[in-house]
Amino acid sequence: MSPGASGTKSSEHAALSLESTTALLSRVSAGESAAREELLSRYLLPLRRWAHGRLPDIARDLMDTDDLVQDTLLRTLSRLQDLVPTGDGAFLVYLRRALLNRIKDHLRRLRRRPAREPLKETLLDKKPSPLEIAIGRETLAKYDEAMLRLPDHQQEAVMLRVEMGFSYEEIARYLGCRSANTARMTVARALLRLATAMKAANGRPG
Amino acid sequence: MEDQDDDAALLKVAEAVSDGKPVDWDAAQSRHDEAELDLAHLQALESVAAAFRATRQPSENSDNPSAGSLSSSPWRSNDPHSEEARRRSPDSTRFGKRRSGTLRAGVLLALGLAALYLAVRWLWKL
Repeated sequence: MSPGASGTKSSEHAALSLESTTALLSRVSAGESAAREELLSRYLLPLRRWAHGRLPDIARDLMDTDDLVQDTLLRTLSRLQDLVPTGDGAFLVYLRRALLNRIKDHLRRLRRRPAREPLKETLLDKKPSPLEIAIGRETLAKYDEAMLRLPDHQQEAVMLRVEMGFSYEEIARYLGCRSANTARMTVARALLRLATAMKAANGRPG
Repeated sequence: MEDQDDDAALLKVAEAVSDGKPVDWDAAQSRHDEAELDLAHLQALESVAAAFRATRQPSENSDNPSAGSLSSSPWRSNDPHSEEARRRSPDSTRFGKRRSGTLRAGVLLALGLAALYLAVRWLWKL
């Protein structure tokens, strides 16, 4: 149901949408299904688009990206109690890593297919993901490696802005920042730190 | 003080990268010689950010980095499994391909039937 379909629903939805991710997660842990639905609606589509860029065409033909993302998201939500909270950003960072690992596992399984399907294996090896096509496998790998070196809240800021395209207003809400400007500065500082981390990944002196 | 100015200037560059705004990298590097390596990697991040924006299309306006969230925002539909959400999903291209394939088959079938009809009429006249 869209936010404007019902007055009561839209105000309830609007109230929920103002919460930070951390607050939502607390409510999910407490068993609130409305908070769980809000979290799913907040991240499911952006994560689907994110995963779409990470999968080569042939892998996307063979599997349902929607299922992969939804399954990972639901599994993460079901394990909330087991996740040790390490501060702001831990949830999305964990989700990102989980998704990346699921994608890598899936591609590895496809490559290990029996020899009777050599054509698909060759295609898979030669077919990079849309992101790899755009910036190169090596640059993407350095970017991913550098992201892991950032603190969780900065990883989340970069992920929300750069990878998922959220506005500063939304980032401010989700991260619990005071204003959109604060979110803007958080993202900018995170990008500077990311650039430094990529420099370190290259092995150059600082 | 100079370090703070450099830091503020680099932050401005980082903001531009985040917003998808063009950066004059030559000018930036000539102003901040010592920050050359940071700027080089910020430039790499510029291409990374552009690539992420591109892979989020065609559901977004490429000139607006924030459109990825609001214009196809999940707020429109609470239900991620809704038809609207699926239509906006990049995987709807698979559904789109099936539809165009079916349409093509339908057109061919119609043409075939028309040809058959004309052939029968011609034979009848004979």
